[in-house]
Amino acid sequence: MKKIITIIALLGSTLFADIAVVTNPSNGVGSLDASQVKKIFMAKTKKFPNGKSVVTIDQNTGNDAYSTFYKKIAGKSPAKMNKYWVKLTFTGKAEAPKKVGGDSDVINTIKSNPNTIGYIDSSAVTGDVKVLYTVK
Amino acid sequence: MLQLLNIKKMKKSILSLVTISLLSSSLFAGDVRVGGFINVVAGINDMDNSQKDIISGYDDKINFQAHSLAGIQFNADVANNMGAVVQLIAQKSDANDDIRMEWGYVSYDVNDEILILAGRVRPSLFLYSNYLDVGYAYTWITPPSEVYYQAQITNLDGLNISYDLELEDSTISLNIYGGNSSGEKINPADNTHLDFSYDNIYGTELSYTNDYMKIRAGYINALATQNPVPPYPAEIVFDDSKAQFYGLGISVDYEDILFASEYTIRDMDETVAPDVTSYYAMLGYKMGDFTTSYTYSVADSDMEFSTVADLSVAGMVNGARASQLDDRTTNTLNVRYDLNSAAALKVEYSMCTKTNSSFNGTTTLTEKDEDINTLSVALNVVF
Repeated sequence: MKKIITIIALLGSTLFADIAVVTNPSNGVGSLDASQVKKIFMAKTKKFPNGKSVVTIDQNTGNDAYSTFYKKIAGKSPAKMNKYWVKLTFTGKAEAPKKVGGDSDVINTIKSNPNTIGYIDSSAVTGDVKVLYTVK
Repeated sequence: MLQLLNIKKMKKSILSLVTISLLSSSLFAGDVRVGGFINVVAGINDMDNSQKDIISGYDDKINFQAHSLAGIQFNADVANNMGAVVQLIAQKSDANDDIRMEWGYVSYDVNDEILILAGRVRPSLFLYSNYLDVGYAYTWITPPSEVYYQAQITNLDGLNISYDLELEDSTISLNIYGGNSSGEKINPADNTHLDFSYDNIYGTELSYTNDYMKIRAGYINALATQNPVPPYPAEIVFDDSKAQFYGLGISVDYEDILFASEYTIRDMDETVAPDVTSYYAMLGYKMGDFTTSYTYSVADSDMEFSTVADLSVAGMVNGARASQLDDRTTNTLNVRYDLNSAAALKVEYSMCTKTNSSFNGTTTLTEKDEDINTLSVALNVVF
């Protein structure tokens, strides 16, 4: 019974963890709303609201952050996201964000590329990145 | 990768020696991304070789070649708002392996709303036209031939301009394209090849897309010419003959439910190719990694009898027209299993009732129904 409770607690913590949408503090972007986040990550726009170009980066497909993020912002499972990108890729319209790894890889990539945007578990946020939106 | 870097270094040093500033821009243009897809498809039906099904290419011996193909795509950024895409497809055709370019264009982002493609593009004739060769992207092994076989144009050389209006949770898109194309068709009467060319192609598509649904309406117009001209009377020869397609489509992918339906009309000026009305409806249900779907598809063609006074000419014209009639009704059951996030295995069983028409020399058509049962299996991979 204890085990089950622990498992449920663990599942709960991963399923309901907040996800922070982050960028490099130097690019001057203030904050984003849910719809702007969705448009950027679904490749509907290639610019931040301030007109600067944006490069999206993804966590690896198997990460909890990946499935939670896209379920919340677009209502899509990893399998549906994959089909979404296949259609866009092979018509040449847009390409899927580059998969860089986990939370720390996202932070490291953003540190060295001012126009990148990614998402990480809110508990992993450091001073190297600026939070633009929190997916709850 | 290391080799690439070395080449880049080498190029850089050569360039710095000769200082050709024009060329140096290509060094900073970013890398070329490569992706691709493979369809391995095997099919068999219950027709012997003499009655081979022209549309599927199958007979009573297992055929791995008719629908298997491999595609490779290169994407590159040329400049901030400019990109280049080339998609090559290799497929068995007759005795040889055929490599063709399906997409090959330069794209220019005017802004977030307007995108211009120049080069070889796929006209958005049907719901799945843009990624017709990427089997992984849809639930069937091939989209219903009753609808998709009606157009021989799969790509054109020209321009495509699209305008995307982003609403809160949906997109309204207007697509306009124009150009010319050429293709090849097998003459069912004697299995000879006929070259087709399509000039003055122009078309448009209006669509509405949200997170789980797409609705579209499309129109395309072209002038069709056939070469070499078979020994047919002038009445049934294509020479800048007007061909038009109209299409409506809807696809839904909501939770575990899949639904798609299209309705198309083919309207040919010359009557050697009949006017065809075709449609299908597909309903599917997902259970974990399995998707089961049922599709009902119909093609219904119309023939006009020749009114030429010379009976021998009229007989030939009507005979040729009758042989082109294409009436089919197919029931298809498909099970798709997603092996992982980049591979799907599909099994499909279809029962088609085909009406064979022949002209008996007077003014009546003789129609004979024939049943074709086809089993096919596919492995679709994207990479």
